[in-house]
Amino acid sequence: MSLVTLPNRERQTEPATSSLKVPFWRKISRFDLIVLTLFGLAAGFVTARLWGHPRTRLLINEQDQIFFQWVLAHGARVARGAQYPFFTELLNAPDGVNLMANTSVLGLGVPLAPITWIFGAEVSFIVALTAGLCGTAFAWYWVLSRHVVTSRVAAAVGGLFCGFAPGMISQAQGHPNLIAQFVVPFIVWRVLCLAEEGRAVRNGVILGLLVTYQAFVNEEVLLFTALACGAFLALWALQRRVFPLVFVKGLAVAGAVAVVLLAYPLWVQFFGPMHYSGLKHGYQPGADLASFTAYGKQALISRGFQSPASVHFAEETTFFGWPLFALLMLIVVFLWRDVVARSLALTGLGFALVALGPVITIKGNPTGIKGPWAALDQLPLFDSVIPVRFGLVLTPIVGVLLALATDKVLKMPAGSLPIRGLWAGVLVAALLPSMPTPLEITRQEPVPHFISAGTWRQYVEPGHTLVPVPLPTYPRPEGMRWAAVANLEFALPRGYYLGPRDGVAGSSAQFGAPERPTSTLLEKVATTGKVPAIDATDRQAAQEDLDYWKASVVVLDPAHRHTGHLLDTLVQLLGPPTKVDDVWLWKVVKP
Amino acid sequence: MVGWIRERLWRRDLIAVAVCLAGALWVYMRLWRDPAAREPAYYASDPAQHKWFLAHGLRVVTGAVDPFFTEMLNAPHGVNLMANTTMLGLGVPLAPVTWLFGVDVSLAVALTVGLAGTAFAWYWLLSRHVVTSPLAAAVGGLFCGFAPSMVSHAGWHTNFVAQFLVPFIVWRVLKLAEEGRVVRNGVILGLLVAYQAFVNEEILLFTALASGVFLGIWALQRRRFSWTFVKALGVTGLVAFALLAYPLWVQFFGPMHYSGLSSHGFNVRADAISYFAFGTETVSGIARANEGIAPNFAEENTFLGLPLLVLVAVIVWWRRRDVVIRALALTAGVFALFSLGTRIRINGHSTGIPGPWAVLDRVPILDAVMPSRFGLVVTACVGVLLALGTDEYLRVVREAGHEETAPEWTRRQTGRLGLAPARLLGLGALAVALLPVAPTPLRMIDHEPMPRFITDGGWRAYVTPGQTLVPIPIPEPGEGTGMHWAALNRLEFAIPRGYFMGPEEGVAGNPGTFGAPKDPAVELINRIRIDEDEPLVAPTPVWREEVVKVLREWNAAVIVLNNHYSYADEHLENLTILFGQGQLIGDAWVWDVRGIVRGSDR
Repeated sequence: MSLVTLPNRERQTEPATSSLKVPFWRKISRFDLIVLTLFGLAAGFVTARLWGHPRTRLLINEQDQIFFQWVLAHGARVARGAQYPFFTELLNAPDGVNLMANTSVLGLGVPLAPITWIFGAEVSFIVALTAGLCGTAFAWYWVLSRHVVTSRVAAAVGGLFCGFAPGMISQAQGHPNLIAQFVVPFIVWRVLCLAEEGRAVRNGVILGLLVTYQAFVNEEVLLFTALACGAFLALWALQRRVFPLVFVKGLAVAGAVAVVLLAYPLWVQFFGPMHYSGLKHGYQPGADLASFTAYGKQALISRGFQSPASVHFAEETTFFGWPLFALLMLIVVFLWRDVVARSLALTGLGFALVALGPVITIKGNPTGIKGPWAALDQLPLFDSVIPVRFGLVLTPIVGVLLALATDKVLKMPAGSLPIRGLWAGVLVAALLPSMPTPLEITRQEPVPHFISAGTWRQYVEPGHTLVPVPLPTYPRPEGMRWAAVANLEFALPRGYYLGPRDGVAGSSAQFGAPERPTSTLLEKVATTGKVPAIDATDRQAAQEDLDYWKASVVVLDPAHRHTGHLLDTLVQLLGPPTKVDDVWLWKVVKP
Repeated sequence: MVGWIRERLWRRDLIAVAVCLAGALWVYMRLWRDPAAREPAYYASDPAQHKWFLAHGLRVVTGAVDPFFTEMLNAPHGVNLMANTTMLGLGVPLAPVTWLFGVDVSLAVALTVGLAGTAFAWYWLLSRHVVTSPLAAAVGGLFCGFAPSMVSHAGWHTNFVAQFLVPFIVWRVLKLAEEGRVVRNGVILGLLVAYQAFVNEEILLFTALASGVFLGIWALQRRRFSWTFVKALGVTGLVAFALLAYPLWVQFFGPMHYSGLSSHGFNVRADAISYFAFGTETVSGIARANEGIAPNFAEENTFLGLPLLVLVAVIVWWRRRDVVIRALALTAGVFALFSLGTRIRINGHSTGIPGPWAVLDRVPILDAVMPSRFGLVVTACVGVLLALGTDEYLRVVREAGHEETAPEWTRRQTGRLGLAPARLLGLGALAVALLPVAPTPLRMIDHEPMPRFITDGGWRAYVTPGQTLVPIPIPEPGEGTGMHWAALNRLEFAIPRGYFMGPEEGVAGNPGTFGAPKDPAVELINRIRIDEDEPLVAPTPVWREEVVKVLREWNAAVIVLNNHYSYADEHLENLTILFGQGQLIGDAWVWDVRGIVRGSDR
């Protein structure tokens, strides 16, 4: 039994006392530092194309990067005490955005505040992404090496996979909230610790604090962690036929702590202003059946090619490739007699089945066969989850299985058999093809000088908004990037976020604000490049919309593909512009 | 006891034959569903050409035709068949099949038997002369037969698929050093070489080069030099020369021979990263992911896949003291470097760095080789390395089980588990490396139905010996249907032009190129309009003169257009302008041009 933290009284007393005596930093070995350095280098390699160009490059998933730049800037304001953390009127003015109901990563934004203050949100985003990958890998390495396996090499293999697996790299395309899983291994470890006799309160409090923190990094990952731990423990307990009551006690304490700490934020999330109920947007992409043996877009072997089994390049959570898939089958056979490994494998199988989504697809072709998800999506909370993301759970499961198998192989006294070399070869053969390449980027014009130099201050009155054209929305909320660069010192109308349908709190969710005539008109020009005929009704609507948005000034994005067409449209709508610095702007006359 | 062993061996061999055949049937599953109606999805005219060659093989057996030159193709100039891959070595033995079931089935048989035969031949060589474990021999044999490079050729290149003689040639080459049997060994190898020359000279050349490099490296390491070997090789040379002298004379000096290749289009080299890629027709393969690193789907000669390369590296590193392993690895390395061609390309970008092949590219005969195809040599080396590695691993595991000093964990788990974990690990290593590159059934498409005018012999009323039947579109490289028609009729009618290798400008002795020289009159007959709005310009009298001239040159009897052809309407429009209203006979449009050709119809 390799999980030493599971109930085992004889073993636990001795390391527990010794760990009290040895200070934390003495437990770090040189090997740990080497592993940390290597993981750091690997994370830097993945984000290499962003480093050095924070202002002129974006990931190809640019809208999510811009969203996170905005919330990181928000986190820095919260840390300064300048901002209420859970709701904002700086976005989607005048209605505002419920930030608890959006993935506002306060758990990253607040600690990264000094970096945001000094270097800006554009740099903190890159730091968050890099630290997320490296931190996740190292956290898994730490927990595996301290509590699961005896071989540090085995733990490093597991950590490497947990941090840099294809599923993680795919999510690294713009989702720092999902890849910052460095608390997850500690949560898992502390969940297992709950079974420790006589420390229900201490263990419960620690877990409750960790859970609270993870809720501010990403609630989705927290939900997955809870479900995976539950499934694993249930399977394990069923096979072992044990039921430790102390576990339930500890869990209750953890629950109580978390509820107390999270009660208010969750109240805001589910009942506060601009809350919504469930996603219900019909978009429920599942993992393709062929994806488990396919390679992701960022994999070394793919040469940038997106597999037909991929629903989106940032959602390739289940892409392992044939060699690793074959190795996994082998490992399951190899470790089948180990209850922990078996429970892990079965948990993984369950999550893989759920990840298939409502209808099973093969290479993008729906088969018409319903997946297990079809039975789950009506449950509360589940209606806010994208099924393919259940595949995220597979990454750490596979990582732990790799670590367990490696540990077992290294423990075999090989004698004359070339087992270690062969195992090393097998690992390289299975993992190397899916190892990541630097994340794909697009080149951008930097934010207008008008914004970055602060010239905008002369035009935006307090309590009023700066209206960027086109108005910030999916798929390119450029204005939010401007606001992030200006440390959210001006408010924006509309935006890219999740809010209630039609702006009515309590409705199901939609991306962005409900339609308004002017934003729709300008968005159409921005996508088609065709200047429509403007009549008095349009001008009237524009005045009403600007009024509604409490606009001080309208600023045209000078770097847009269709700036010329937008300019022609705006001249018809609002009259002649003023050229200030590097932008055209229209001061809004108060009626 | 001996009888029992022999029986066991036989049973094993039978299983091996069954497995190899099953593998080949798996690859050609979609072809066998209807050999007459299907062709590989990534279509070139190779299947039609190979059907024509098989029909020629039948004619060589049944009639008194010149095996090495024909006037039934590219009439009236003809084609030097020795300077093309006519594969008499397959066409002649398959003559009964061709005669009984036709060229379509015959080609399917040639492909299936070729692929299965290659795998089995390697299995046989490995199991009898290289390794002790039948499993190891099977791994090596199946890889040599069904490697990505083989499956890549399997759609088009019958002559590259049928490598079943190669293992025997390699074996007999190694046997040449045997003392006291110089003449016998030399004669046997000479016969094998002569036979392979009639299957595929390119593969023969590769085999010779690879054997040479391997033996050279081996001899250098061992510091050995065998006079017997040289003597026997002399005998081989004599035998092969005696047998091949006339055919080779025809090839290099006969009618329509060519010397070397015209430079353009033949520099097919491997991209350096193609070795890491998975072949298109493999379990992990994705067609679009291979864009830019292979010239086409049939030339994925070097696609081994990253996991397999890692496993081979592990094997070579583990057995690095073994002279044979070292020699094999070095041979593979040398040919991998050669395959990169004269200028090294990486991920679709030319680096400008010259490859080692740049030196050999100037040598006559070698200048006709596509360097990328050296990947086939690498494939065979990898197959043998896999067999040796597997065999050695199994031996070590077996011995660990017997040894008193066996590792503790192997002894403790006596009975139930035994050495299972070690075996499982070995099996897993093979699965990780080979499963991703296992072949998938080749994609096939239905071609248009053949016109009954051709299949039922309606053409016989029009075409007499000495005249030609002109299929539309006119046979060219990339347009093989006309050759398929001729093959279906056992080459009983001649056709103009075609898909073959001949001298530039049609002048014997010029550098070789694909097809007959360009002719504006042919383009005029073939022309169709792609854009419906653009009218077809009526031919001027000068144009018409050109067309009649070329029909006279061919001594054309009829022009035939398949009404099922996807551009039939477009061709019909043009041909009606040129030759007036044609006759719809069954499902074919036919223009009787005998009058025009005789000159009575002007």
